[in-house]
Amino acid sequence: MAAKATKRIERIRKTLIDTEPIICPERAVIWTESYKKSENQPSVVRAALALKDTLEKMTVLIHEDELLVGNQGSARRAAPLHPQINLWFLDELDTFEKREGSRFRISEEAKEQIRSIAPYWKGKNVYERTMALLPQEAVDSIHANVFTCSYTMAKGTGHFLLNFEKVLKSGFEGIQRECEQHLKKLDYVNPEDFEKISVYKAVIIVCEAVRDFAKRYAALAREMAVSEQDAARKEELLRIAENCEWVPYHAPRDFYEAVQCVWFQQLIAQIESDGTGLSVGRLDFFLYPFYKADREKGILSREFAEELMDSFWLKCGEIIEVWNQEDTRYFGGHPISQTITLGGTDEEGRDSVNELTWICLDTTMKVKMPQPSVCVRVHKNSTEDYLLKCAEVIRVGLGMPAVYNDEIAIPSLMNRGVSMKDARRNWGVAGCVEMGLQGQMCHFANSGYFNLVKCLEITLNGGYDAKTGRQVGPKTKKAREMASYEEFTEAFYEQLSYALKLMVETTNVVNTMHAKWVTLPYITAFTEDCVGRGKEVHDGGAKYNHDGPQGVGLADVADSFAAIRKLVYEEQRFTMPELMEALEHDFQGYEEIRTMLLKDAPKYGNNIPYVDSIAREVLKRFCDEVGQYKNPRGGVFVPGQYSNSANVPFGANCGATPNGRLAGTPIAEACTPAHGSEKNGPTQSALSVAHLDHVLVTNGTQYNQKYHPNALKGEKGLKSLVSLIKTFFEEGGFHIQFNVVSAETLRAAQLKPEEYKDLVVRVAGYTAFFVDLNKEVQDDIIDRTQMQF
Amino acid sequence: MQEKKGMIYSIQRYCIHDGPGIRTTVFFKGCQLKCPWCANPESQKHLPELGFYEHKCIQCKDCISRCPQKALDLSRPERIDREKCNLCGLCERYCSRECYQIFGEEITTGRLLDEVMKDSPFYRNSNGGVTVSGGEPTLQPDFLIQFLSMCRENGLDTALESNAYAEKSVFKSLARCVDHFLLDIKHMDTRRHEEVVGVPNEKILDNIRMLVQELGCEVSLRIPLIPGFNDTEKNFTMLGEFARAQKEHGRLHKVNLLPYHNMGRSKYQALAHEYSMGKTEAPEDSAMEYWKNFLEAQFKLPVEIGG
Repeated sequence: MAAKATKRIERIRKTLIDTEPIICPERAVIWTESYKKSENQPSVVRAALALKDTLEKMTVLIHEDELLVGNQGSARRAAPLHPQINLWFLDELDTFEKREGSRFRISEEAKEQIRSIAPYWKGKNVYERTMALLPQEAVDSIHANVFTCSYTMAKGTGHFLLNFEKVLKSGFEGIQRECEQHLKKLDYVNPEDFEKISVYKAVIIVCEAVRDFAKRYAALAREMAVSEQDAARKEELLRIAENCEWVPYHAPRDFYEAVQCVWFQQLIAQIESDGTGLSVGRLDFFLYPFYKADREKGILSREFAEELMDSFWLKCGEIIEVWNQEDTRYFGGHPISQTITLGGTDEEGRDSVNELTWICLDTTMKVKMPQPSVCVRVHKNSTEDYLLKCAEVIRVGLGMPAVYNDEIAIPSLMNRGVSMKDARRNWGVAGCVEMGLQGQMCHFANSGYFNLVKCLEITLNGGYDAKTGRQVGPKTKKAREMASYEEFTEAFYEQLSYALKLMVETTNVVNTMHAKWVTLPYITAFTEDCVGRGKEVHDGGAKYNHDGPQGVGLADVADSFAAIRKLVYEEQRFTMPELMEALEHDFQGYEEIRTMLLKDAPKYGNNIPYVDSIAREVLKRFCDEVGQYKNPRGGVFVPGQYSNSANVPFGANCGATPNGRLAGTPIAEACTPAHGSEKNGPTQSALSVAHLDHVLVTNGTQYNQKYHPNALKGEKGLKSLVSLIKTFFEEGGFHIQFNVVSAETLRAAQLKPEEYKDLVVRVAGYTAFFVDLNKEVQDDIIDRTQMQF
Repeated sequence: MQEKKGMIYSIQRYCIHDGPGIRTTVFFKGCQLKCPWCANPESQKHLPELGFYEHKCIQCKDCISRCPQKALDLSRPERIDREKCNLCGLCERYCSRECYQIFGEEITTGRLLDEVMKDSPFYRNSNGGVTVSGGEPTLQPDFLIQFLSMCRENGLDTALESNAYAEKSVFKSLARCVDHFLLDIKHMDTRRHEEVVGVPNEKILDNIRMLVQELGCEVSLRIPLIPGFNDTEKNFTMLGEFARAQKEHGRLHKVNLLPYHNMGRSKYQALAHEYSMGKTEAPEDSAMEYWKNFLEAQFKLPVEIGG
């Protein structure tokens, strides 16, 4: 193992970290010009032409030292804008540079360009089209913060695990041939061929555009080689040219070409579509045949393979996207969530860890970037060596890899209609913690967040939201009139059911607008079985189609249920009206009641069956409600239980709760116990979490633990962590990730950000540079229980 | 069986330095030695005590009005008039800043067993178990032996941290229910030992010899390295000889060198105990390495820095 990255990699890394992100108008401008010219074409063909124009005209760059080439925008970290989805940025052009977190530079010229294209998209973007269709009830619920679909109303689908294997096998050339074969058999005589013809034509345009895009890099590399003085670099540039002349249009002939091919495929997906969570997936699995063949032939050194992987990581690190100001509260620190999933099994359930897995884990440690986000699949036959290696990477303190349990993921996917073979072979993390299927799925994974705590709050008020002064749910009994705990829970589930239906309605409208107006012919080209069916990927072309809304604040709700049950109805310490009075006054003058709520009611996160069984039941009811709905692509809704940083703004809009939580404070993230409620250390907290029914939660659950670096010292520290992970998984846990950084370090970074530019932390389902987060999210991270030993 | 009651002050989970695997450590309250470097001042007295953390206090005065004994006084830096305080716990219960903490809780062996059994899934994967520490557990021998026997009956691995200053008969009983003894040696010179910690060391060394050589128990020796007290060549030579003798005649698992630290200092303040170590600094890493090598090279002992 190379313990340290090469000088080249160090140089690229440093430049990347020192590069300030900019807003780049290129893509938006070219895209708009293209759309203005193609109004007589079908939607999918227009998108293909726009991508072709973009790939033809955008800036191509080959940076110093690079072995892999392909850039997203006009500079090293250049975020594009996507006017076809939402025009939010028009109001923020002058504040990008003034943001507290997730800051961007933007030139006056860029602002002008952006302003000039905006009028074309007025009334034609996904957001406006959605708002035109949404029923008032849904709008009211959104305003009351019962749920949000802000992600898909502001960004693209994202969350595809691209089908790299297909392109590695046949190149875009093969895909083009397939489409040409299909086209020969179709004509406009058959009405059902209409859509198909457009789809095949679009895919063919895309395949050729991809070929020509790579050739632009080949030409640039040759041109640079001519004037290159350094002989070694000249050689490298010529090799880059050869690679780009061949892939990704043709199938790669060796490992180096294969890595370049994967990068192009990933990059172009980022250029075509907006949206985060465009994930690399099982890189170690699908690249291994190339690695193995070259190693056996003796034409690839381990060192060069490592350098290529390091380069790949840094390329992923260049990709950047911009969120609107409001959403940086939900998604702090430029999360791109290009996730790589290592380890796991093949289709027969055999362990698929290989030499490349180890190289990728080493790369994660060496390169120390927040992107790509690295995950590992673990199953019952995973070796101790592999687990120890993962623990060693975790100890570095990047919050990576996040660890996933195959024994939950596979049955969970099968429960939603995925075949066992596909689940075993192709499941990988799509974005944060969502279970995706590589190359086979169209996944609106980040469909929205459901505020369970707000749902509780309106339940106590009979469906009325005090904050907005509106009736946002059915008129159920008010808390003051509830005679029993059962009456209370029934009312909660009635509110939940009503609000979730509105959320599904909203999701279906937004996602249909994406399908109609933001077609993705490029991702369609390789996603199984779009070409076979002649359907665009948003339009039911993919083999599997999931939409995932997530619940947030489970712990606060479970703790509140337990407090009401025990203190109000079982022990009659105070009455519901008294409790309501205390909540309405945010406990000011009601400290006695608050103390009872905090101290005398059991809290989720301590392995206490009384409250853990409530958490399990609430989660089950949430999952049952979500799971009954179908999406417009012929797929299903799958529930998730993760929050990114949505727990902070959600909490800000919720009043005091019966678990003793004060108004406006953050609610619990994901499956993690509420702030300060874990009184019995990491083992008991892990058992509480593991005893939820994670199999039901196919869009993923997320559980964070935090350790002081001391707890992972030495071999004993690593072995103990492995035992903890294994036990958590045997007890039923799905996902666990670790922040190994001391509160002192984080506080120091807050004071002197310039000295901690490269401090990477786990925010939620993703990692970010700590200094990129706004203060609110930074404080939340510091506040959460740090388990010390 | 009548369940015994005992006084403990803490249960810590996911302990990875007090015996093999992941362990749950139960801290008994009360100790007869007076080690000035003790990092757990709350462990010294047998009876419960109230601690006050001044640095957390925002002077909201809520506690003053709630205290039925009028035992709290904002003008006193230590806050609590311990003559008046009857440990009712209202200050701890209501303080929103968690400034107060009562150390010490009476618990039955049955309830204590339930508490440690909650971690049993973690023992399974790590070959871990229960560790009893303190304070000095052997000061509550009936409670201790009953608890450890119950752990054994439930298939749990057991470890005991002790100053080894109990009667022989106690250790004879313990030998039947403890898998790993972790025993302290503060100083080899009994006069120096008595001068500083208050008791001579002969009984301690005899107990260790008995456990290792007669009863065949697995023992680790734990040596707190206290600068200016026991970090002399002479002491380490005697220590090395003693440890080597145990190694030759039985199961000496490890010699652990535990570097002095002053992280318990704030707890002394909280409990209004006097901290007499003054400005003693933690030993340098290089000093720790030196003594480790010293014992390894001259006496062929398995030495580890830290627990």
